[in-house]
Amino acid sequence: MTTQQTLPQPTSAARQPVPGDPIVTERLTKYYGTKAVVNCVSLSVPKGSVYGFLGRNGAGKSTTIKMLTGMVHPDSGSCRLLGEDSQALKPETRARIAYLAEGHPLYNWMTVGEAVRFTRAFYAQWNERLLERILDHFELSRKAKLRRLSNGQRAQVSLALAIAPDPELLILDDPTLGLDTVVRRDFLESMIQIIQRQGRTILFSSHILGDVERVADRIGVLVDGVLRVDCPTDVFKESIREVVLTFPGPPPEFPPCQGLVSSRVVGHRRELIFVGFGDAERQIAERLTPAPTAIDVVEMNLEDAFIEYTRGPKRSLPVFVEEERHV
Amino acid sequence: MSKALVIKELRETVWIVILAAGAFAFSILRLVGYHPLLGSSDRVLSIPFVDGKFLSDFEEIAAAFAIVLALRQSAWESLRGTSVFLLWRPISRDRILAVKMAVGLALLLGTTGLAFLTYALWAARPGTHASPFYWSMTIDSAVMWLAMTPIYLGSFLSGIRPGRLFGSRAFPLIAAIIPFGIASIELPPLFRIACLLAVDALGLAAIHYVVRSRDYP
Repeated sequence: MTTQQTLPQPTSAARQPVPGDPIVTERLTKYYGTKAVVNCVSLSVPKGSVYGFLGRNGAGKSTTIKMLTGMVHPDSGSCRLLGEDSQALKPETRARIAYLAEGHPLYNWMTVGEAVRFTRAFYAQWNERLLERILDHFELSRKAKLRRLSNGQRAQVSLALAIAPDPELLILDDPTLGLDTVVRRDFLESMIQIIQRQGRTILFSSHILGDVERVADRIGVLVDGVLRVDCPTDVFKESIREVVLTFPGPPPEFPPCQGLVSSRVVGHRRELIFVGFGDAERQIAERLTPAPTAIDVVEMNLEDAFIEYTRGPKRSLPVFVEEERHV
Repeated sequence: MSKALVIKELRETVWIVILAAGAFAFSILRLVGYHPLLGSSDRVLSIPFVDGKFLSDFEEIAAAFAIVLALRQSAWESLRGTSVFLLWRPISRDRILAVKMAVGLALLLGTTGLAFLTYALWAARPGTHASPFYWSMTIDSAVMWLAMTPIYLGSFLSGIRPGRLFGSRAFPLIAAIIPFGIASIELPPLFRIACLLAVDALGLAAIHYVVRSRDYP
């Protein structure tokens, strides 16, 4: 069984940064105490892409984003937004980037209209018509007090304020956190409809895979502060397979091999999670003693793939099926 | 954009100013012989400023005002998470900080200065009390008025430092007691003022350093 430290990468793996990439990080590292919460993260987000930044709670997504936006200083490594060092972003560069912080912090004492007036004062470019359309779309009154709005409505106000300056790059830190399923879906669909235009780059973090699958064309998966995956969403989905080996009796051990993420026994079956299951791996399975009576390769959706990839080694399940029933 | 920041700061702190102004008004009315709660008035027999009654009330109210005002402008933003929203606006951190502190110091010095001046003008009016009045009698109170700026800056520094408020984060606030000592000691007023300005400069440098170097997690 492989460990978290040796998790295999999907085949296409990380891309090299090219000039003009709006987001580039190099060996970005941050320690809290002795723990590396972000560990040597190197990624580059191509222009015009929607990048889903995934990871379980505490994986280091927010810390990475805060380093990207210059809110947190990295202990080592560097990050650049629109070609400029994140720690020394000029106000003019920041005007071209929208950042939605986790929890949508806004001044609660303001009304929606006051929040608009306050935010507008900082920008030379401000699309009032677009803002009006977004507020109309979400049915938000300018007179509404922010403190009286639901989490979903606050997220909508944050989005409207972020979009109005017509940014080239959007960085959204878990924008759907705390929203219920229906509101989340509505918000995401609206978000993509509103903000996606040619050349605009979006990076958004989430731990809800369905959200990412729907909108991201490239994903990064952070596991314990390490960027394990950085590839197109389809490549990740296609690379990860569940392989179920069925045996006549207790399943034998499966030898460690390249691409094996986890392995567990369920009754007479051994369930394996593989990155890139090919002929070589199939031959290893066929040569096991006793030989499996069936080898089933199961496709996984992004959510299952993510769970299997990030949960790490699992213990085998106890064999309930063979227990005698005492009625 | 500075105007928007100024309006925001004023809106957020107006209630503190109103409370402080109310406390000063209550204190001054008492000192000029009017009892606000009883609705009656007495003749003033003590000597304004020299008797120490004004200074005692003034330093308590002004210090509390300075601390609450500074913490509201600094720690409150971090607590509510709005510092991230504010710092992301396309404006330099130095300018945000400068506007915040300019508004805070203007409110502090304006409100406390108005209270001081109101009482001094009453004391300077002939026939209001049974004692002579010279403006030199107000010097100790004027120095104490200036001593409020290090208290404000110390509290502001405590507010912006990361960590829990009841740990080492509170050191600058505790250190702000020092200006009370400087303002009270029997030394030439100009020397005391110079010391207070030196403490102010130190506080400003420390605030500038913390704002630039701290993380906003």
